[in-house]
Amino acid sequence: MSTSILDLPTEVLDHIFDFLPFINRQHAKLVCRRWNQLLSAPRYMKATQLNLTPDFHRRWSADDLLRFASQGKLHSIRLVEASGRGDNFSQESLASIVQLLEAGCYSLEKIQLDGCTDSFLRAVFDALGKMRRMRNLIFFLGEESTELPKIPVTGPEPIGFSFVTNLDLGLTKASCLELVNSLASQLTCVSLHVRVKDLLEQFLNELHLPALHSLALYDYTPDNQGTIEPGALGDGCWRILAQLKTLRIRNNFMFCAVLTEMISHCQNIKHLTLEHCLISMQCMKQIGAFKGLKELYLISYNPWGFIRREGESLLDLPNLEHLSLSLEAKIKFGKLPKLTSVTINGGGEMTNPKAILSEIKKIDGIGGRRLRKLHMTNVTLDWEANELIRAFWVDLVSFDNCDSDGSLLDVLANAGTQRRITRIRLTDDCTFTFQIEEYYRIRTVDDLRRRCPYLQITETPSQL
Amino acid sequence: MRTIQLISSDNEFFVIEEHLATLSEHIKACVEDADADETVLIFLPIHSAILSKVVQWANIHKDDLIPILDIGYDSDNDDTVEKCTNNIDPKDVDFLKDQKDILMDLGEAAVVLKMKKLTKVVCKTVANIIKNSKSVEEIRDTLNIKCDFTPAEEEQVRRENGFLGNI
Repeated sequence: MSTSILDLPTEVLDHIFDFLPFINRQHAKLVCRRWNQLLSAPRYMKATQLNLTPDFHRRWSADDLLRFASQGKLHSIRLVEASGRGDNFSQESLASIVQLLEAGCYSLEKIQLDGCTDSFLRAVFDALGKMRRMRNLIFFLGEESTELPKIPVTGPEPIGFSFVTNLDLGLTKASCLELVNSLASQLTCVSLHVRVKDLLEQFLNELHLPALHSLALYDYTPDNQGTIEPGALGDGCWRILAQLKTLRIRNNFMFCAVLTEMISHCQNIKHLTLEHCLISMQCMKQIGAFKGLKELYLISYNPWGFIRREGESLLDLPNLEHLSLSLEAKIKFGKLPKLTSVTINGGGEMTNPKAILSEIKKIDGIGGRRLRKLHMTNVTLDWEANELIRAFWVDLVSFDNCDSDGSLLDVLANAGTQRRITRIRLTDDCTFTFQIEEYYRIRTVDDLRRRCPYLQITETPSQL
Repeated sequence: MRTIQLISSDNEFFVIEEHLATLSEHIKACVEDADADETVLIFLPIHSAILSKVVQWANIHKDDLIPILDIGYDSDNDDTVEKCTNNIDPKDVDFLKDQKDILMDLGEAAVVLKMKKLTKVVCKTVANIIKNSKSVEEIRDTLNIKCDFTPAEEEQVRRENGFLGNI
């Protein structure tokens, strides 16, 4: 037969290209004109990013970059200046960057500025005002920079900044707050990397962000700045928290004293992530009362992160779909009727997958329900934990960097024979330890594959 | 008993069992309105050599417990699983091993018949060919594609690739 791959309809080729990772797509572009044309479509180019450091002109010609940008292929750009080390963009490269931004003004959606100096920012800000699609703005001021330029206002025409809805910002200077303030009416997602405690308090209390529904707060404050005092947050803050659908807090120390109170105001929350937070019983009670909560992530690797073990807390969340835990806590679960996916995230001795698994197993009627996904990361599974896995009906069971007793493979084979599990995913750094006196027929993943050909087993390289 | 007959582009007849109808949305749509004891004739723009392979493939999957038409993972946001290409059913790997020459024809037939699972398997197999090729020339050779770039164009694509990073 004579059908060539080029006779296939475009959607089939797209289907094929969808299975390729970035690097293979780059290769495939070089195969022929049609493939190059197909792979230059926005759906693929949106996954690419241009990273420019001050020495970029030594590697690439400015003309090439400019041609690329004017063809509308530039969707994301990151400009990195290490201003502290005197590694700055020259006047010449500054001019070509401005040209590049202007040429890509109809395709650029994401712009990231890292460690930038004042003079650079001033030069670039005017160009940013001409953007037409800039939705994501990511901003980290250099150590030496003193101030962010004001957003240029150019007449009645819509200016570039008015498209920004997602802002990712290093909160280091008062002028950063001014930037947020001038975009206040349009921002929907804000991530703050907080370096100065007072600025965060100001952000939460004084700014009015009517469209905001997603907020991420990352605490990078040095220890000497202390914690936010219980009285420091007021009505403005509670108003912001009440309108949030998504909240993510990564704590160093700053939120310790106010966390419970903050959580209690998030009445409309759907996705909640608390990393490295000290979560009190009262706080757990609050979380357990959010009827609308769909996704809950409680993650901590630090020794102060676990829940104080005074009594038990109950999570009875009628809408919870995804649960991710890395706590050695005594948590009881209610019925959780919509639960479809569970992640257990460990970090050595800290966590106890057995306790969590056995609590989940106790959920009323869980044995008759089918979960979509049971995922385990960095946990040590012993014989008893493996026996608990046996009890679930799951579509996909996945293990990421887990150390397990060899009995796991037997359990999986067994569950597979009963069609309790249909897919298994493992990273290549999972290990299986066999006790000497134990006899198992299945000792490797390949054995498992041979024994249960109907199981879809994938081994992926470790992400770590 | 309802009979379904497929007629290939070179006028060969294939009598198929009901279960194949569930694998192809095209056949399913044709059969849907037919009476229980009717004979349904479906003309297809597919050569008998290919059509026989498609029927053969469907027979391999006759006894699968998981329905093949729709596994239900399409809504799965899990990129790593969705993009995985080494999870092809061993039965399909065996089947396609001897069909290298007509892989694209199978793909075309799968599109015509709207067979999601077969399309996916073929696409994954082709993706694997691209992934496992060590050079661009090897991709061209294996898939029988002629390079239509001028040297200058090719150089330009190469340079463009040079400055792009993954997000």
